[in-house]
Amino acid sequence: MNTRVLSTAAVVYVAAFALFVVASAARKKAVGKAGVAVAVAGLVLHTAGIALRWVETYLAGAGHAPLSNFYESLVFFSWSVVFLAVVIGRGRARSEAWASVVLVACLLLAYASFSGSVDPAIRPLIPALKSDWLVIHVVTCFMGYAAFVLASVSGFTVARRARSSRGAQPEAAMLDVSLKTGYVLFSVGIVTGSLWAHMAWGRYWGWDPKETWALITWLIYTTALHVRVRAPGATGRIALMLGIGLASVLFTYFGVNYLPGLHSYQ
Amino acid sequence: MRQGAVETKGSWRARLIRVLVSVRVTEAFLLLLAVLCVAATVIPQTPYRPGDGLAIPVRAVMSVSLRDVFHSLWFLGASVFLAVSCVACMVFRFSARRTGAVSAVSGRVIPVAGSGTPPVVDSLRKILPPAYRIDARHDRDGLVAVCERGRIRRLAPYAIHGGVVLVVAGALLAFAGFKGTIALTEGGMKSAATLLGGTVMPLGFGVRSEGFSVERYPDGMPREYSAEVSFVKDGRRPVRRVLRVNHPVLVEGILFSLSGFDETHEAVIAVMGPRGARRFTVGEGSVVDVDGVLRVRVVRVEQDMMRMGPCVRLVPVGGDEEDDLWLFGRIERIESVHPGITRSVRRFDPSRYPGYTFVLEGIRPSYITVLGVNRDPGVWLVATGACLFLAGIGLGFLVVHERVTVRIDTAAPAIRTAVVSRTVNGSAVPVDDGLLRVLKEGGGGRS
Repeated sequence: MNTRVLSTAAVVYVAAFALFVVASAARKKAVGKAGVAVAVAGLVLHTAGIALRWVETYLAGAGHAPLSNFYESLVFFSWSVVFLAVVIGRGRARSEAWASVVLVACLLLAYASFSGSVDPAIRPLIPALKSDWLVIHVVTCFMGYAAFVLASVSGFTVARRARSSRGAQPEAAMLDVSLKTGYVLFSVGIVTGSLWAHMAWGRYWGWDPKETWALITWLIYTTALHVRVRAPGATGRIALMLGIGLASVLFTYFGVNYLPGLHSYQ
Repeated sequence: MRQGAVETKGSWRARLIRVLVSVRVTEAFLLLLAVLCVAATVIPQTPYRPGDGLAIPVRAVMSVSLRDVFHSLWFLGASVFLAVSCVACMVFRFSARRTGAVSAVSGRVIPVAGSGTPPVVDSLRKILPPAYRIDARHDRDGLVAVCERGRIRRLAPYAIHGGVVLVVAGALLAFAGFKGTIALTEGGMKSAATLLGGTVMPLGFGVRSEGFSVERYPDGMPREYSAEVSFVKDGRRPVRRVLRVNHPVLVEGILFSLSGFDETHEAVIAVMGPRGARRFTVGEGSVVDVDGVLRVRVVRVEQDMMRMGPCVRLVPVGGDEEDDLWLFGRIERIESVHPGITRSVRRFDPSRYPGYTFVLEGIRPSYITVLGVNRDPGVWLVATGACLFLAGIGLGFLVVHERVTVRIDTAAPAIRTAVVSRTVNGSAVPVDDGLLRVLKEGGGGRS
């Protein structure tokens, strides 16, 4: 049942994306507002899907937060992107930024819902995952990833608007808020992950590919923050840093599954 | 992060400080560390182990190669540089604040009629929210009133950079510790850990397995497992602890965690010999000393050998492999299907060794407890650094430091001017018109 609700949410995001594209092309604010309403409706459906899955894990006897496998992480990642866009982007994000955000969320959710390689089955947890740190660590990391996605979207928008000499003040504010939010959440995610590793494996850091790539992502965003503070007007440079950061986020999430390690989803 | 001007004298010391507090250099080193980490996941790593016994020149070459990135001079050097740079930034920031270089007043100039302290402060109190702390004082140029809220945010850079320094220092201290594993058979005891690369590290006390239990899901996957372990030190009562996944125990400064288990089987063998019957419970690799005369090694334990039931392969210690005995639990049944097999195939004969008859009474599952063993003297430093860093970014990103500075030139005889400036998180922002109006109207007219 939860997979049907989540697939429907993906379709609603497609509708929101279409509205944002129309609003951006035709410069119709009313259409953009309708797009936001549809995106919020999609988020409500998405939240219901996650809640339903959580209930279903209990009914299946597994009884855990739906954050334990690749399917569940994709669903939560896409939810985080839209949720943070609603929280951070309200009054700041314009239709083109919104279009990018719902497109990312939609692609993630569609991949989870319609890809044959992602198993949506509810499975019981292995002993190492039976920890309160699971929720804290996964939630902070994925919210951090999502905030970085928003930072990239707003960074590209700011750079593009700066080149075309159009004002980008709301997007610049969104860039700063999402970059800082992502940095705080991701740093908390790394620290809670280290604490959990200390409990489960007896060491807080072991240079596992996931840990190494999390550090790479953190180093890149630390650099981006320094660039932003040192040269706030260098929009091209910050957009480049955010692009590299986003690539690193994607590799930290997807890429390391192809490297041997303790964090692999497959 | 650098704020304010750096001493620009041409001395080597000034140049070094400029490099250390330079944000551009810091960015370069952060990216260098990122690139080295990428290299470590792309290039197959062959970490150096003390047990490898490499010659010093080979070890030196290895320390500058990318075969062991995380122990290379490049990685350690860049990490130490960043830590030193953080310290330099903190010192520079602190000294700049003390000398007042950061808080120079420049801003909007407005005319005021007077300069008395109480009216100015009263006006500021009237217009600014109660969270502002107002500090007014006279100096040789006139009256200066500094109004601030969120002053605690000024600690953020110190906490962030100090946190990074502690994490790097703690991580370097880990080199003084060790990391390894201990594999314990049920009832077995060990007093040394096997480090990566095979080096054996004595612990100074014994670790004994008192039992292991595993609960399983219907599909056979482990649901939960735990090991009961005793820590035995000479002259002291053994300390008994239960280890579960995600619940490590700290003993004598060493952290023991339940990192896994191996499943194996033990055979129960009875031997009838000249001195009577004896029973042994043995696993693969064990030696059965029957009576001091006959000694056999257990080479293999099988639950079901080619659908002929449980079986154990024994080889006499010091003897030929050809003199082995395949001891089957259901030898009578095999004999009934293949009459005379124990006579034609000598290695199937339980009485192969003259004067002794072996009986395989059964095979039962046995578990090997695998413990992670880690002594890390820097772990508390890293934990403190991480907490400090998180507190720092929390302060830096969540707290807003706002400052309104008003300077009134009291030396002017008639028309006095006030310089009003406002900063938010160190950046100049326009001053509210309401504040300026209140200052103009009541900032000094009644002095």
